Amino acid sequence: MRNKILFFLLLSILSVPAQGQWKMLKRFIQSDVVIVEETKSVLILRHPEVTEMMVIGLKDGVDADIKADTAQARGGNPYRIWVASEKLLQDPSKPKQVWGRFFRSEFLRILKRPSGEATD
Amino acid sequence: MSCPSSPSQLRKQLVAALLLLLLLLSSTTAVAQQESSLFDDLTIESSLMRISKAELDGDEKTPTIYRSFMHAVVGRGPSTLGLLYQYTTRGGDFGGGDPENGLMLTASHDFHLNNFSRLELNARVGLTSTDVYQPLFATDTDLRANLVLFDSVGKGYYGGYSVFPSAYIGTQINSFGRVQGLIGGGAWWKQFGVYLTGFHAFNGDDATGERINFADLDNAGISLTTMARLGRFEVELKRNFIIRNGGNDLTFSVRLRRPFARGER
Repeated sequence: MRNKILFFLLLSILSVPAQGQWKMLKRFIQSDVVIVEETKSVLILRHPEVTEMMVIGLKDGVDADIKADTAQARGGNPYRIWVASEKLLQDPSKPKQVWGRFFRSEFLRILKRPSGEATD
Repeated sequence: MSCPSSPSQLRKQLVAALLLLLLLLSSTTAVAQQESSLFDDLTIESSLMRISKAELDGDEKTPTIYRSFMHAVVGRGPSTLGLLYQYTTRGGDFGGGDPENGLMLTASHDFHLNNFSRLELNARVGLTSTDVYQPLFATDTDLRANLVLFDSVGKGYYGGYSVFPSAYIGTQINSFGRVQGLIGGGAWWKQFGVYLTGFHAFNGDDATGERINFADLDNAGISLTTMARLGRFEVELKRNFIIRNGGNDLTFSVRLRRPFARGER
């Protein structure tokens, strides 16, 4: 019985399908936001009151507004962080009050700058 | 012979240990700052362990053992190098004998294998130590290896934060040739972590002789660890529950980590 519990625990940890990578992020999206496109590496969002769409990428090659990255504290396990691009943060035509409407406040709190600092 | 559990004697010895430690830490900090282009970060760790109940060959003992250590560690990339000063006093069933202290060199390396596993190697080498009355050694020399499986994306979502689970399996061999296996799991949420670990010695002393060597006990047990990250500080509370031979110890640790310019994100 103990072996079975251990086996399913390990299986559960290792079984993160590629599309499932977006599962956690989707919890941070506002309910009125529409998912326009979802692939293994890109998630494109549209807000009914915002002209431009939001591009979120998992890989370096993607020109995204927000990208996934990994952080690791000494002695700890790597964990996913979300990093806003300089383009998104510095575009005067798109202040945070506008693009921030795509996400719940919890996401804006954990979103990082490329330097690693909080965006707030 | 002085009594280690005498309050005034204990206080003097603790002050002496603290002063030595401050000297060690300040010199280590100074070197690390000068060499900040060489190191990513500096970690200062302090720990106090208390054993008030132990089990040896089925007999329950009531010792009063305090073991504290201070550990200064510099890190570069996935590797660390440190110095650990350890200090132990005994009373109760294991009373008598002078306090013990010793210095260890520590090293670790973290092999990042892929997106869901890493291999941790940790080593300690005893450099100097006082003579021991009963082998509750002031230094340890051992090698530990842990294969850690983790989920970096997060498995759950509670209160606005993801939960990051992990599981690990490992082994430890020390200078006495005792081999221990361990298996465990845990999770991080927000800045809090909890881990449950089972450990089991595959050989070692059965604790029936005159001289009980704690580092060579044929032991088994479970440990429960809770951790919290508060800014640059990390606090940890660990409780051992013995199944066979050893102490039901309680350990409180505090770590302060200072990243340098080229440090971690």
